Amino acid sequence: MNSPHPEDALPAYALGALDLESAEQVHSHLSQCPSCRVLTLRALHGACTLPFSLAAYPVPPEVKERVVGRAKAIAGATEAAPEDAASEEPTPQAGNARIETPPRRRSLARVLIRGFTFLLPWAAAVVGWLAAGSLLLYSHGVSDRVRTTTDTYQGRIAGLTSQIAQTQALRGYLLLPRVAVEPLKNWISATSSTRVQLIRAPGYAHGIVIAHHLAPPPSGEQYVVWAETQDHVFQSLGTFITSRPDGDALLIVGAAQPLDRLLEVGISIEPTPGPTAPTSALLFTAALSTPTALPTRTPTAIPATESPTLAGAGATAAVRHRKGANPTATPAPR
Amino acid sequence: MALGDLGALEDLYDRYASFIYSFALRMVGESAASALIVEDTFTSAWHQADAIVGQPGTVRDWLVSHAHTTGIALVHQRRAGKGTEAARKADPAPEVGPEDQEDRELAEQRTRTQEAWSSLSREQKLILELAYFQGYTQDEIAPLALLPLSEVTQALVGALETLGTAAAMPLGGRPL
Repeated sequence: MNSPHPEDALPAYALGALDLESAEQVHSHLSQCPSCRVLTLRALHGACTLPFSLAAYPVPPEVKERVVGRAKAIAGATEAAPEDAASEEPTPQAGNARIETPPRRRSLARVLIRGFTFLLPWAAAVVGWLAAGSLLLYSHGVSDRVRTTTDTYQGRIAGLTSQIAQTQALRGYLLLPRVAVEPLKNWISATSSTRVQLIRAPGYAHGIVIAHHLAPPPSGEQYVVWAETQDHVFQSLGTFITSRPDGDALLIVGAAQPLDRLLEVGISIEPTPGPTAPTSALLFTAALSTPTALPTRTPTAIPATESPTLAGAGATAAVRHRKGANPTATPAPR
Repeated sequence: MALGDLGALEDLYDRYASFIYSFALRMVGESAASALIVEDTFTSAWHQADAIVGQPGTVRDWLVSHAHTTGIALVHQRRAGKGTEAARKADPAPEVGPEDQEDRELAEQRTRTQEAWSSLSREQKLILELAYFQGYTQDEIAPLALLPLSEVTQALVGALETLGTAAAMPLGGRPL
């Protein structure tokens, strides 16, 4: 990419056909260049017509029943939803991959494959949600059917670049040779069924946070993923709200520097809109690198007698009494 | 659909499910996983309806993008585990033939895209197949297609321009 504008790379970027490093370079450029963002949108829309080059085959009839059943479950209808059965059904690829995966990668593959039915909807949901904003923008770029304000336009452009970068990160991470899955320590209760994991790779600023059995935050609040720098400054890596009945969530996070140059990643419950630094205790943490000098740590772990499933009310009540304490000064224990 | 109308979801499903299923089938090559992708795509559309419904010309692209992301993630997982061929043998694509019934607008778009597709060079088709349906990067495609990377890049530029131009022509049908 000698040109200041990587026009030639944009189609491959929109198709997801760049390696992760190149994709991050393009993403960085797109964040500064509106004209390249528009070109990327056009390429993306061209790509979305490709399925029309295929013959259409009928869908097995039971799929519609499952979709409607899951939609009813999401909507809170009283009818029984077949979601659990569907999501836990092993896919044929799982067995094959488990057999064929070389030993060194087996651990990651097992996590990813076991979690496939979990990752599948959530990875796609995250990307899809972000894609919505980006694709809406496209309608402004090539169609006169929709008129909008410049602010909205810019906001949707930002949605596009975010979506593509996160799509790239997600795809790329599944293939990176040294990617690792690390659990975040649960400071609520070691015996809780709530699990939070971070997928990251050396040298990369993006990572994937996966949560399982995480209770929804109280109304008006959200989970915020924080990174603590070597200078003990906190950066927000992203926010999410669990809304699925099973408490599963997936968030692709991005820091201003490679994750392995940061001290720690942690998650707290914060009001919406979020503050610039944690205002409550970090409920889940994981060390990202070996610090040069560990700060003094004051134990702030919530007793195990609190809600073992991080029920919103219990966890929040436990956090509330520490509101106002600056976690930068008294970070969560290791 | 954003208002919680299940009937709207069913209408969307009836209109696009076959389209998405065929797309998924092309990516992952077997019916069970393709059905799962369809299920997830429409369930997610329901889940995210606030963000996608009511914007003309966007719903189909949202569905395609979602299904593509999911399908390619699965393709990548399988490639890492070398399980694709075994999976295809274990659960091959359905034997049934293509559907005859299709809504007029989709049929129109299909005709337009297929005309654009047929105007692409053999190399462009191969490269798009590898990139979009099989999830390869352009660096991986170059040796597979026996082409220099620069030609792969230019082929993608030209192919998406052609397809995008065909897609941008005014549609005679109803808004999406």
